[in-house]
Amino acid sequence: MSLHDRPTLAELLQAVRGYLNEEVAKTSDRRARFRALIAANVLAIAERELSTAGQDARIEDERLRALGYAAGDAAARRRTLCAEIRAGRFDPPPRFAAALAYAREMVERKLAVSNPRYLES
Amino acid sequence: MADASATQTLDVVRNDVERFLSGQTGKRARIVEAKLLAGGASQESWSVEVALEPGSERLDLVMRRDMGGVLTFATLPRATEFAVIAAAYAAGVPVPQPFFEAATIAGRPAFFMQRVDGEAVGRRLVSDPSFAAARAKLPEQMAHALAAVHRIEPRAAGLEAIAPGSESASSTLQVEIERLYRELDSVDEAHPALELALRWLVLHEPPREAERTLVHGDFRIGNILVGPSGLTAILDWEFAHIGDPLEDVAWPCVRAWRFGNVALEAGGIAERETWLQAYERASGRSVDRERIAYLEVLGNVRWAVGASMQARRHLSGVEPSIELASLGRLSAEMEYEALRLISQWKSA
Repeated sequence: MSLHDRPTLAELLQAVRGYLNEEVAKTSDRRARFRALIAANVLAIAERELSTAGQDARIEDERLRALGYAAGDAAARRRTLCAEIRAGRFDPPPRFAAALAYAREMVERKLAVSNPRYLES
Repeated sequence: MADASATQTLDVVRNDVERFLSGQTGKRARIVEAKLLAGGASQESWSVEVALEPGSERLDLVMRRDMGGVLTFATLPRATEFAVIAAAYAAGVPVPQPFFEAATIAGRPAFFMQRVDGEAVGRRLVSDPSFAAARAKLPEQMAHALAAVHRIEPRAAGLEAIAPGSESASSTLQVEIERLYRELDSVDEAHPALELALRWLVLHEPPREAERTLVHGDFRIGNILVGPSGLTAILDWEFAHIGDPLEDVAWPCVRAWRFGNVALEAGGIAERETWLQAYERASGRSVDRERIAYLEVLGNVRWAVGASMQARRHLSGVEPSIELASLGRLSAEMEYEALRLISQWKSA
């Protein structure tokens, strides 16, 4: 449990999102309304990321290891993977398929945070 | 941009706009109303209503003006965009009539054009029942307008400035892929999905384009104005260039430009084949479906990189904006779509 009192971090974000959706977005100013809805959506992304960040990190670590990247932090390994894709080291079809499966899974995890509805349609 | 700063911006531009339009018209030009419209990638658009005095003449104008900050997009300078719109207007393409090219308004390049009525908001155009009749006409109208764009002779229209740098051996696709790599590097963030998609584009590059024409560069729902009876104007010419005309045919098929109406693959308003056949009839070209599919992957990569770059305008502090910030998390959608298309390539 957090040292801090309630509202929890998630509850704070939720409260701000409610304010944006229920009060700011009710303004008559079209541009302000539009931006309030964007801001509320950004907070929803942050809330989802908070709830999945641990699992995202664990799964990415596992998948990078399976691709042969065991050492270093995830960001460094991801950069190495990118450089090697660009250099053509994943051109052989089985290697390409493995990297493609990794990338698709990671993108789906990103979408589950940024816009889960995108995966439904 | 916050409304407070938009108001300040108006105060800054007001004097210059009135002075410039007075000089152009020989009358005293007074701004009756000016509103900031949605911004583009590199410029702002203002709706400007001007009274010319003495007399009762009014001008309904749109002012396109550069935004601040350093941009890495391959966008045209305002003067060149003005020239392209003028050439399109002369060729009978539905575009706002370009009026006055101003050197600078409050320190930034700008020009003026006629304000045209119509709806540009993509989500409304693809779903609002009041546009049902317009939607039925759009594929044919868009195809005719686009074919007319592709018939404009760039050199005859004085558009040499936007021709490719040299008669290099590179295809326009190679040039585009190299540019995307540079832009992705400028974002400075690891994107394995985009690296894979770009590598795939390199490995599957189709033959060099059959011809090069003027290309609008951002032709899609959202960048056209639509009234009750359909297309009224093609907007946003800042990405115009010389290239493969099929780029413009594939771009509206990119999922992001279906505005949620995913099943109608041509801009959320028509079946893909309806659109491709309309363009074939209007242009006299035969459209290579496989090339369109390839260009659709490329289009997804282009907009994924573009969204990441737009987010950097916020992240760098050049232009603090919740809208721009949110675009950083949009690129995953285009990454998903690019990888999905690659996975399905020729397996259908």
